[in-house]
Amino acid sequence: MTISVKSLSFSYGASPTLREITVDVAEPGQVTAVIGPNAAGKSTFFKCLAGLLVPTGDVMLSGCALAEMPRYMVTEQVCYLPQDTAINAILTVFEAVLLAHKQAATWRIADEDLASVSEVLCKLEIEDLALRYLNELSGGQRQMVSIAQALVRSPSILLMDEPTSALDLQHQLEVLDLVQEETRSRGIATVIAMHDLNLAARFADRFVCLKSGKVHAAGLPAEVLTPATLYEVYGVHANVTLDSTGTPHVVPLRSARKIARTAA
Amino acid sequence: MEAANTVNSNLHKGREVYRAITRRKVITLSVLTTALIFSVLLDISLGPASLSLAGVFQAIVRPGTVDVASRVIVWDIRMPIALMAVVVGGGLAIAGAEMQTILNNPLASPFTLGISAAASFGASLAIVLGIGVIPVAGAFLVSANAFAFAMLASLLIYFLSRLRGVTTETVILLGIALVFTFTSMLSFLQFIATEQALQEVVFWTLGSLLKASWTKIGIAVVVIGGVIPFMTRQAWALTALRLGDEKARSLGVNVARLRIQILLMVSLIASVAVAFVGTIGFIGLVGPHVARMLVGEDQRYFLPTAGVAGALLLSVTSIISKSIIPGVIFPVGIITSLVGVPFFLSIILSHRREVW
Ligand SMILES: Nc1ncnc2c1ncn2[C@@H]1O[C@H](COP(=O)(O)OP(=O)(O)O)[C@@H](O)[C@H]1O
Ligand SMILES: [Mg+2]
Repeated sequence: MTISVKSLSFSYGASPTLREITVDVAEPGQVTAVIGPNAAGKSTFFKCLAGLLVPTGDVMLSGCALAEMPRYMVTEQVCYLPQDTAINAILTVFEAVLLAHKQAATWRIADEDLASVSEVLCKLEIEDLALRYLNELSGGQRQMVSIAQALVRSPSILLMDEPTSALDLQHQLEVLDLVQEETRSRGIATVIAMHDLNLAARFADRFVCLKSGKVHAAGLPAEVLTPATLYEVYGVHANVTLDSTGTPHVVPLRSARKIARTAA
Repeated sequence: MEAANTVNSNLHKGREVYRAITRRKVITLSVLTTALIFSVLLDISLGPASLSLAGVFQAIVRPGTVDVASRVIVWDIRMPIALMAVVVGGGLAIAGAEMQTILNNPLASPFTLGISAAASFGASLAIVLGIGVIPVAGAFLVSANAFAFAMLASLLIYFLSRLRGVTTETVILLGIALVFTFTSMLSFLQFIATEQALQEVVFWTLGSLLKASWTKIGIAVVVIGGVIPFMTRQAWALTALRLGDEKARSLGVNVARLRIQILLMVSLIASVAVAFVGTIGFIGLVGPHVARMLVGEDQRYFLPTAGVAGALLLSVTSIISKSIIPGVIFPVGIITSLVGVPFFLSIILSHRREVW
């Protein structure tokens, strides 16, 4: 399934948070990174894509308007992983992932469901957490559980809002590797909000860069990650080098604001 | 071949883990239920005319084989009280459990949301002024009034919670405002009441199981028993709600509708529970916490465990209320907190796990 938006706008109050966004977000088998400064509207954009907020304009799934699809169908196809993973539920990790997988709790849980949950925990290498309670986990461990909850649903569209923000270097790489692999092998259209531009460049096929609720740039990593764009969006002077595979690498130099302040 | 092995081993591991999780809960629930049965039998055996546990058991399963006095004591006097403790304790705890779940707040309970206070006011209105809001109530005038006001308080919370911008925290604050409102109106009634009416009001608000009868048990069982299947049908959605609103919504749960539905069901249960026995504050708050610590929040186990835990707490309280001074039965409402608080503190403090 492809996901795109057409003149999408959204406002929480008087002033609009998202303004007239029209962009092809992701295609099956592709990872799209959504980047942008704090409060650019990334999380709001994700909630609109997930159908949790109702924007003006259209979110299109393979040409069908999301707003017109029945709720159960959206739930089945679209999986959204919220940015905020603070959970105080007294559930074991296994139960929490099973909960995300099963769409209805009956007393009997089918063998396939147990196998799927176990498989996902195994892939993310968090099997040893299976019997631990969510409220006893570290921030990073919780994030791993949230990722497991997302992957176990095997959606057509996977929306992850800063899924790696609390993870250490190794887990960031492993999780994104796995997400990329699942995206390719299952033909998922994956959209990830990220702050680490180099990590994003390494795993994403496409970039969408938001600034103040608008699409500032969209396209291949090398097209979006340019010194000019970085300056306009983040107010940062940066060098961008391309490695042998053509992947851009950002080396931030100085904040423009800082330079201005020092000069004054 | 290798793929098939992986699938098999995953299935094996998954089953193992799930079995381990489930086994603990089933055992806990069975132990609690057994304890409840013993507690009820013990409750029936205790009183001015002392009966043995075996005698009680015989009078229950084969009433024809015991003497008339024992039969009357067991069936007509003590059993209604013992069973009322089970029904009311279970109802209050289930109501509290779901209030805490939908309001995402560990302080929510029929007591803290003002439902008990409203019931007390309604009952006192009937006792002091003879005013009944349900005309055909007859002998049930006091209980009917208590029920009507409890429902009124619930509906007030229900409608206020539907207003835009009202968060689950605001609902708790509204409940506390209701507690104060009804409590002061109750004080006003007490102030103007005759001495005899005042005594009756005080007795009612203390919360006592002595008002139990088979009819009242029947009504409570029908109402609570009628609502629970609807609740258990939402078990999955309610568990998902504990993952946070956004996650629950992305899992396809209609969060707003679920909250409203459950709030209505819970109101019905809580109102019936308080209408017949008066204010019993602690069970609706503690029962769910005990259940949560014992079996976690998978609602398939959490709900029944909360119910059984609440029933057990009130049943034990009933036993204690007759054992302090032989021949005197204290109102259970006085005892619940005295017994409940130390018990509650001991579990909370002995539990390393952060429970909310
Ligand atoms: N629930 C909300 N109510 C009102 N304003 C909000 C809400 N959520 C976000 N905002 C505002 O919308 C803007 C974009 O927020 P968000 O989408 O979370 O940005 P990002 O995820 O890019 O940091 C911010 O200015 C934020 O203050
Ligand atoms: Mg955000």
